[in-house]
Amino acid sequence: MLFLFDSAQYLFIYLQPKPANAVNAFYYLLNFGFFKKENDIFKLHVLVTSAILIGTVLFIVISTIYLYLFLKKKKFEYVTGISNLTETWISEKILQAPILEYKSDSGISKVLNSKKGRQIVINLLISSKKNFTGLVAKNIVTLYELLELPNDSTRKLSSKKWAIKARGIQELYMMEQTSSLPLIFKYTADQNEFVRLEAQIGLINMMGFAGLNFLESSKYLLSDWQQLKLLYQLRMSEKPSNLLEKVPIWLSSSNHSVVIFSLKLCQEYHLEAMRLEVVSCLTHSYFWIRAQAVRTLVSIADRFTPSILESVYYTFNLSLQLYILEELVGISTDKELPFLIHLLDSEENQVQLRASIVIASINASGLGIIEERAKIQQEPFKRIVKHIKSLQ
Amino acid sequence: MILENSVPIGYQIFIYVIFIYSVILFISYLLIGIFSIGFTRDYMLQNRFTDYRVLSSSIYAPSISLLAPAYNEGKNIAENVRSLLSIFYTNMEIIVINDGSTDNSLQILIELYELEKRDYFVSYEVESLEIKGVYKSRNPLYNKLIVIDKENGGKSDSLNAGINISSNKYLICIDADCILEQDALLKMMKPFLKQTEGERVIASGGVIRVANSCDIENGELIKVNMPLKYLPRIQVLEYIRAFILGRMAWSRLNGLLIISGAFGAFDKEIVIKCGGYSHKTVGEDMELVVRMRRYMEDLKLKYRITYIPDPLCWTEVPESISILGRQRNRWMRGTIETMYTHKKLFLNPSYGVLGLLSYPYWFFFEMCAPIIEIGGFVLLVILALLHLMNWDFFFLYLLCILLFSYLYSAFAILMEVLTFHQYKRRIDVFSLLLTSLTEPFIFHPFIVISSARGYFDYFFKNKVWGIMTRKGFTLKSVKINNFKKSNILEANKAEIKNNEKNKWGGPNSHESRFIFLFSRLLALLYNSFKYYLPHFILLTTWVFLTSLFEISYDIKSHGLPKMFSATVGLICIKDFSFSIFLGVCFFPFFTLLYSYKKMAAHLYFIIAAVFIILLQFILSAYFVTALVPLGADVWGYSLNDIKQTVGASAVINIYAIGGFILLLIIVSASFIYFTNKINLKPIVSVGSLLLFLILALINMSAISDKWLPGEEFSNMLCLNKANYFFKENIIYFFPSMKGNTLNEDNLSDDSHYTGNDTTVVQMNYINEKEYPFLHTIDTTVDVLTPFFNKSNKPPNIVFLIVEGLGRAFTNQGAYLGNFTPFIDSLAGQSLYWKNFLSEGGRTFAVLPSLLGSLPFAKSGFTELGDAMPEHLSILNIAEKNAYKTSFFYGGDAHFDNMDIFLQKNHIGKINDQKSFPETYTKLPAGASGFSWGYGDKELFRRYFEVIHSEDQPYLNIVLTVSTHSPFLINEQERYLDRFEERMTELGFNNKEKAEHRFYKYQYASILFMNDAVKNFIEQYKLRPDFANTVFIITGDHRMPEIPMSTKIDRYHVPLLIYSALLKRRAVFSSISTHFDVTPSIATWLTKSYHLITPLITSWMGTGLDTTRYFRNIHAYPFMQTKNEIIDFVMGKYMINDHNLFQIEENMDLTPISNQNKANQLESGFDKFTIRNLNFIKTNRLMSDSLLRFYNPL
Repeated sequence: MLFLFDSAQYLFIYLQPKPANAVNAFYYLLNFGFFKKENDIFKLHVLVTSAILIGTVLFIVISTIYLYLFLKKKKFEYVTGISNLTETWISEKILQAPILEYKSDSGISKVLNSKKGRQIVINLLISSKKNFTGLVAKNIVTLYELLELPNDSTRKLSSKKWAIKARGIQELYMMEQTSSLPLIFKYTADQNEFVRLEAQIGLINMMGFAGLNFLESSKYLLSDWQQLKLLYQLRMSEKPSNLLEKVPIWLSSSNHSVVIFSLKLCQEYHLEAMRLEVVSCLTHSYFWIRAQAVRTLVSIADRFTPSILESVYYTFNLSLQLYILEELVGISTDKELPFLIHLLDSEENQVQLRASIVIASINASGLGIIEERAKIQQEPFKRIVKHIKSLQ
Repeated sequence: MILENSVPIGYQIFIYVIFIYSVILFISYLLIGIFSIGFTRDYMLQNRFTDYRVLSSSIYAPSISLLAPAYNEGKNIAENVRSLLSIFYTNMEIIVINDGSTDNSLQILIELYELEKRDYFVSYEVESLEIKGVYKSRNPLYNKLIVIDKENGGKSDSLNAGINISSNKYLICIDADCILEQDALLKMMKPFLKQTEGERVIASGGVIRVANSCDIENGELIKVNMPLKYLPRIQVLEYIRAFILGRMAWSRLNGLLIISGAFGAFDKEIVIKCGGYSHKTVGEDMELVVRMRRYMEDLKLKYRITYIPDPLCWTEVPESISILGRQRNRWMRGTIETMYTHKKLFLNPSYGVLGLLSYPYWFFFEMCAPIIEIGGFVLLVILALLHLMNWDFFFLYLLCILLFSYLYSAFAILMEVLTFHQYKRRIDVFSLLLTSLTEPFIFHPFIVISSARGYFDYFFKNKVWGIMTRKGFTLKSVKINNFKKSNILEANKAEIKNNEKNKWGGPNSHESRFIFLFSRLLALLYNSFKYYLPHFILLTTWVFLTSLFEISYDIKSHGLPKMFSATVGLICIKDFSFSIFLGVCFFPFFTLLYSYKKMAAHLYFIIAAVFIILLQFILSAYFVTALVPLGADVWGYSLNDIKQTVGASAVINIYAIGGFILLLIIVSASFIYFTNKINLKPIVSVGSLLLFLILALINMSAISDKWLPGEEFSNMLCLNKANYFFKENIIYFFPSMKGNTLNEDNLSDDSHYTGNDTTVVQMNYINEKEYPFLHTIDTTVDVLTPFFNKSNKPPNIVFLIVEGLGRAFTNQGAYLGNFTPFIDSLAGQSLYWKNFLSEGGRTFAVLPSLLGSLPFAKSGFTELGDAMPEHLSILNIAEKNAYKTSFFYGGDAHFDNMDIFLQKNHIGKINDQKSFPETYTKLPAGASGFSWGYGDKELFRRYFEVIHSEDQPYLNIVLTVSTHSPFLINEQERYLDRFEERMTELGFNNKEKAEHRFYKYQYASILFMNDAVKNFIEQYKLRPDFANTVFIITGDHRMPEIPMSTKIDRYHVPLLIYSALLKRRAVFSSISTHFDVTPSIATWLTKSYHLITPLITSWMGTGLDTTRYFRNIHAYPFMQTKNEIIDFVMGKYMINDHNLFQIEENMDLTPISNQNKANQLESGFDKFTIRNLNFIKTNRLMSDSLLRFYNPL
């Protein structure tokens, strides 16, 4: 410590304004003022101080490693101990007839008196809830309520840390705390995407499709991942009858991601009634909406679809064009043949290939068209013919 | 900072550039560490809320084409493909690319997975060699599997072929031998699902972990274990640091430049638009990422490259040095190629983070790091060899670097433990920590060297299409050389041709020119060193042989030296150190010539080495004869002086010349013959290079100084004489290299070289700028008057200066025995200073310091010759006071310009050998026919013949010569017998006698001189003027031809003031020197006989000290040879070449460590040096008006 103090003194002395102005400072630098011999003691102190500081931090880091390992082991032992104690107790409770009341038990009371202990019980209840349905699942929720654990979960919502907040929401919807719905709804517009997603999933979990109401006011973008999670969650709910009323509203949302998500809903639930709305999306200014519209339209295709796709074909980029051609296989008719034959003149090999595959799929003579073309233009059509034959 | 301040500014700038470089690097690491903390913590939290299973079965999950290139992986292909097929991901195809394997890989796959060839249409959107066949399985179980059979073209080509076949939106490229975690693809693809409107994720990278020693079953990782072997274990640490810290931080900044080729995901559309993997680099993974980023930047599209810190992919890392070396070599080549290809990005603000941060970081701290490290190391070695290192700073700095390195490793381990904690056992963590300790010494240097070889290979070997090592299912070396048929091949040939053009025709841009030249230099250095090594080994052998000659010759001449074994050990160390020094010195020019012609380098080395070896032989022979090593003092003598000295020593004769020529032939022949016979393996060369650099770094010579035997002669015997010669000459010609920093500002201090030591007499300087040494003489106390009776007229003064009269063998208490019985008896009747010091190590210094108390100037005062400035001396003062003055010398008074000095002092008459009549007999001539002149007895005979009793007082100076090398006297046999008798008188035992007999001629000459002095005094006693004559008897220096015991021994001579006028005899133990004689004599004569003497002088001395106990009130420098002022005595301390000693009462020296005292002496010495330098500049000692009074024109 004395050495550090000493160094600080040197530093103070050294930092006295020797270079009083810019000219002097330049001269000082030019002469390597810092590196002059008279500053040797200062440099020595700086180095020794640095070595001591780095060494100290190194010692702290290594100590932290072992301290952490020690605490981790202790925590594991603690959690295991409490889990063993409570697991049996919970199992006994939830597998019995409907629970109506909670009688204090000295062992479990001790656990419930501590915050950590209560959290362990919550975790156990949630993991049990994932594995059970029916009465047992109801018992788990009842037990959760009887033990006054919703308070713990609700308290988490006021945390400033997003992970705790999200955890609270997760606990509440997993334990079907419908009374918390207004609170959870508020968090569907949270700044943090994880809190937001947990809240949205929570609403769907407890309300089914009705939980999608947040879409109407959603200002945040729904990432593909969020959409995927929401669709996954929706699969666990029954398809509502009023979906057709809501989807057009969402399709007209100014939030592009909501539109895409709605298109996905149309695709997922084959909302053929929405075809016109979907077709209108084919001309949307936002590329990814157009892209999803193609996919959705193909999934709810009718006899007009090929000609619709043909009409918008040139408004898309290559990857979507290829996608359209891929989707036209099986739904194209003779009507599209001129268009498809025209595509054989494309400069893109992939377009030529895909168009050829579509032509060959229209009818038996389709392949003949390509073979004829191969006679005139061997490359790439000779290879394309082989490819088509190889697929058959 | 690390250098001594005397180092030229260019070096300092270089060092500070390296210093700044390392500081920036440290700061970068620090920031990387800090950045990674937050990002990793967030990722861990996010993971808790992410259920990846959602992805695996969703139709909305992104479609993936997984590309796995394989070459000759027959043994593992089935298992590895099975492992890939077991990955659960709906929207995926697995494309295995058989890259022209020569084994049965394809056959195995066909049979095992029921494959059949399909006529796939391939559009070749990115460049790849021809695809021979595409196979798909008849079995729906394997419908995800596509196998491509293609011509061999390397990893990039295989991946491009896979891209051409792939039909999905995203590509995942893996090494086929990688083991993926079950959820690896899910985690890898998630970032692509999180991209938003504004920002497109174009690639995603994953962590690669080390699978060595892990339990693996059926292509699945069962248990993670810490690798048992050192190399994989240290790579665990390296991977943790790189992936958990480095890439996390760069990912946070969106500055990732690399996604590991072993496991990475890419947006196929962007990959194709960028042209796929490049065939022009071995670092195809990095190059692609940089190209993709550049593409996005050029189009001003927002993008992100993400990174997953989860351990997703496990791979076997190299366990052998050679494979690891090749891998790192390849990585470095890849980096150079990528950096060069995308040089436009360098500090280009239009590329944002990419141009301003990522690229420069990679350029400076990844690509240039090995070169800077090696460059810094080489510079370190050179500076260490030149003794320009400030080791305190170096080691402290090194300590800081090491500690920081350990801290960074420990922090990475901490992060691993806090996050993914793959190595559960505490012993594993401990093992990692221990391994990290060795990293800076073993692993890191190896990596640096391998990377440096990457530079070499980049320029000197076929690049992409030549010999290339890549990893497939197992680590193998692959030769790719069959490029036929393809258009790409033609393009590649053109590339190779272009490379060749670059190689010989020179690069075509500044950057490439820089890289090209730098790499070529490295390659040249290595090859040159390989050729240099046999030369160096021979040179070292000859250096040892020369020392063997020296020690043998010395044993023959002087018997076994004291502390023989320690001496021999040190000789070996110092010889080896010198060899290393020569090795470093010769190498640059050798390499320069080597680059031109091998033979030229060979010849140059032979000439240089033969010169050094012969020089060392000569210097060794000189040392054994003179018993002092020859340094820069050789330049202090005129050609005539050298001729005289060499001639007198009789070392040059027909045998010596013949031997010299024979030696020349043998040494030359040995180099011509043996250098081609020594054939060393590359590993030996590399090992030697490392050893060479380490040894060069360690200043063995300086370290070994601590183990010097202590006895002066043995110390000097240990020195490598050629090394000493060069060192002294470097200091002579480049005084700034000496390491002294003089601060002229301190000169105005009114102390006289005294520091804070108040016991030392201080002088009052008057006009230092014009007359640096001019001062008042009030500091000189008249100490002699109390000892003398006053006569009626001024006394006659006779200075008897005896050649080589050292206290080592003179008078009572002489440690070699008292071989001057008469002088000893005379001392009993005189004022006798037993601890008296001469001011010079050779005769050149005695007249100016004894008679004029004059400073040394550059090479001794007399060496100024005709330019000697006017000055005051006891001679011209005596003359001013009507004394008659004469000089008597048996040799040539022109030697050492003694005649010029005396004439400057207006001496009455010079009686040297030229004035001796023919009736006198000269000393015997040596083998060369040269004689120094007339012996002491003849000199004294001549003295009495010349002087007469006169009324006018006289001041005579007599300088003897008999006791000078080669110690030939006219009564040789008689005095050799007398020597034997004297040893018996002294009670020597047989051993002591035998030891002394090695120097019998020296002792015989001393006994001869003693008798001559005896005759001289006795004869004087018969003269009437004896009663009024004062004899001042001293030695010019201690005879060095009998081995000395300490550094001060060379100056330790007696001083006797003998006279019939003396009131009483006295022996003084206090230290005084030749500088003090003239001031005291002048003061005494002034006080007692009212001689006219000046009140201001430039005398160096303050006067004799007549204290009987041991003390020293003086602070004086000493001049050992004409070019060496490295000794300074102040109080009871002496510094010799910056080493501090305490002077004991018996005048022995004890090395001590007292920084305070050392600083005081150095400060005093510095002050003298500054005055002396000013004197050299002004060449003035006193004002002309004053001098004219004493030196009339």
